[in-house]
Amino acid sequence: MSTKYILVVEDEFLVALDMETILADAGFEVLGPVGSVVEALRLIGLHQPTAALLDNNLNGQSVGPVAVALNSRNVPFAFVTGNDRESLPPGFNDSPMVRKPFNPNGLISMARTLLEAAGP
Amino acid sequence: MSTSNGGLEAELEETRARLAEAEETLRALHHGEVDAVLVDGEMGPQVYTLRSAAEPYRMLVEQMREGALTVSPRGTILYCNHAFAAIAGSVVEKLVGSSVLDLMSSGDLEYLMAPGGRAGFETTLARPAGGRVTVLISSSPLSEEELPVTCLVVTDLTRQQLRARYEAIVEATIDGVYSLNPDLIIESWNSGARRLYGYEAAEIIGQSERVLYPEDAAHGLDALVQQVRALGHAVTADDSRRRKDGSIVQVIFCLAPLRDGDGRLTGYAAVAHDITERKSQERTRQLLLGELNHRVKNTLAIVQSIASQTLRRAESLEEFGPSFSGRLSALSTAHNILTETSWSGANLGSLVRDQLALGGATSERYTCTGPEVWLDPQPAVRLALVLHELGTNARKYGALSVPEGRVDLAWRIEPAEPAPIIRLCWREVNGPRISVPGRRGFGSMLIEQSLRADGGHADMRFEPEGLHCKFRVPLGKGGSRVEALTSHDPAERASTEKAVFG
Repeated sequence: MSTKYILVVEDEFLVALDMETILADAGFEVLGPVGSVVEALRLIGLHQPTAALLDNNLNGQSVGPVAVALNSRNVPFAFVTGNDRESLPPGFNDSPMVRKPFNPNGLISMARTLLEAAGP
Repeated sequence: MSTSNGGLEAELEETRARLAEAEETLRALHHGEVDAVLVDGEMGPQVYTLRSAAEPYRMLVEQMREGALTVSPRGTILYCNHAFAAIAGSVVEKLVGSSVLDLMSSGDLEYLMAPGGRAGFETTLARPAGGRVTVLISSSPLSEEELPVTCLVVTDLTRQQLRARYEAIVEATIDGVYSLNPDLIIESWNSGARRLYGYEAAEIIGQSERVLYPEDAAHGLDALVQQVRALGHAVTADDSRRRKDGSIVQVIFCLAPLRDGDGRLTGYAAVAHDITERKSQERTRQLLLGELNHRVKNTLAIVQSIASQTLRRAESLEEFGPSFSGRLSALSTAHNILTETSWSGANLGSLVRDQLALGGATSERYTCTGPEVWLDPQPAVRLALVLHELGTNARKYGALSVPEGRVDLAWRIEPAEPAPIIRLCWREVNGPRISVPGRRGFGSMLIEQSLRADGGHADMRFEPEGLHCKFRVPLGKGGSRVEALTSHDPAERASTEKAVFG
C-alpha cells in the first residue's frame, strides 16, 4: 500500500502548525501545510495527495481553485472554516466541513473519513 | 321723478313693500312651494316659470362647489346653495331669511353692494356655530330683476389654502408620490418621483405603472394590486423599480386605494421611498459581521494552537500557565494596535515598544532604530508573537536577566525585486554567557515558522555575548503600496520612510 498524504492548506501558520501536529501525532502523513492557492496547486501537481483539508479563506483569497483542482482529480477533501456553509466556494456548499476552532478528535476522524472515501 | 319729501317717502314705502313681497316669494320658492312667480312690473304682470327655462341653472348652482347666495339690499338672505351653507357651517333652511350681517360686517356688505359689483374681495365670515372662515367673495347685482338683488359667489379659501398646502407637501417630499387610475395608468407625478425615477411628469403621465417595473418583477405589481383590493387599505412592500436610464432602485412602495364619496375605487395613491442606501448599508453590515466572525473564529483557532503547542512543550503545568498567558497577552496587545487602526495594519515601532514593555523591559534597557514601517494585520500579529518570544527569552535567560544587559533592535529597508526587503536585527549585549539550548522550544520554532509564513528567513545565533537574530522578510505582497511609500532618497528615507511588512 502506498503512503497516504493529507494536504493541509491553511494560511495562519499557528493553526496550520496545530493541524500538522495533531494529524502527525495520529499517524497521518501531512503534505504542507501551505498558505496560498498557488502553493497548494503546485503541491497538488507535484504529489498526488490522497485527501485534503482546506481553510476557506487564504489571506482574503478564496480556496475555490484548490477545491476545483482536487475535485477534478477525485481527491476527497473537507473545508476547515469558522464561517457558515454559505461562505464556502460556489458549488461546494455540500462538502464536508470542520468548524474552527476545531476539536482535535473531530479533525482526526474527518481525516480518517476522507482517506476511507479515497479508497485503498 | 318726484323730488318732494312726501313723494320719496311713498316711493320708499312702495319699494319696501315690494321687497318684502319678493322675499316672501323667494322663500316660498326655495321651499318648493311655488313653481312660478308673478312679478308686477312696469309692463304689467310677468310670469317666471321656475321649473322650465331656469331649471338647468338652478341645478348648476346647486351642484357647484362655490357658495352662492342672493341677498336683498337689507342683507336678508333670499337664497343660498348647499355649498354656501357648508362654508358657513350651517344649513340652507336656517340661513335663508336670516340676515347676512350675522355672518359679515355691514362695511363688507356695503362694499359688496357696489352698483357694478365686486370681484375677488377677501374677507372672513363668522360662522354661527363659532369660528371664522376665510373666503373670497364676488358680487354682482342681478340687473334683470326688478328688485335690486345682489348675487354673491363665495369661495372657501381655507379649503383652497389647505389644498395648496397639501400640494406643497407632496411637492416638497423626497419620496416619489403619484397617483394611478384604476387601470394603473399614472395620472400625477411629483418632483420626488421625477428625482427617484428620472422621468419628467410629461413623459410618464399616461403611461402604466408597469413601465417602472423590471421585466422579472412585473407579476409583483399584480399581486400587490390584488392585495390592496382584497384588504381595502394601503399595502406596503419592499420592491425594486427600473429608472428611466435602466438602473434598478430599491424602494419601499406603498399602494393605497382612492375612493369617491360612494366608496367606489377611483384609483390608487402610490408612494415610493428610496432604500438603496439602506440596502447597501445592510450589505456592508452583513459583510462586516462575516468578517468579524471570520476574525473571531481565526483568533480562537490561533489561541487553541498556542495552548496546545505550549502544552506540548511545557515540562509542567506550573510552566504552562505563565507561558500561555504571556503569549495570550502578546496576541491581545497586537490586536489592540490593530483595533486602533481599524485592522488596516500596524506601525512596526509601536509593535516593538508594546511587546518589549509587555515583557517588563524599561526603555533604558533597549534601543530601537529604524524607519517607519507599516505592517499588514497578519504579519503584524505574527511579528508581535515573535518579539514576545524574543523578549521572554531575553528576560528569562538572556541579556535582560542581568542588570547590565541590553537589547539593541534595528531594522532597515532594502530595495529588492519584486518587493523591498526588511532586515531586522535583534542583538543582546552584556548578557550572561549563554549556550545553545538543547531542546528546540516553541519560541524558536514559532520564530522560524512565522518568518517562513511571510516568505522570509530567520538566522539565530547564540553568541557568547548574547543572542543575535537576523530576520529577512520581503515587504508587502501588495507591491504597489510599497512602491508608493518607499523613498529611494536616503536622506528622506531616514525620516519619512514607510513600507509594508507582509
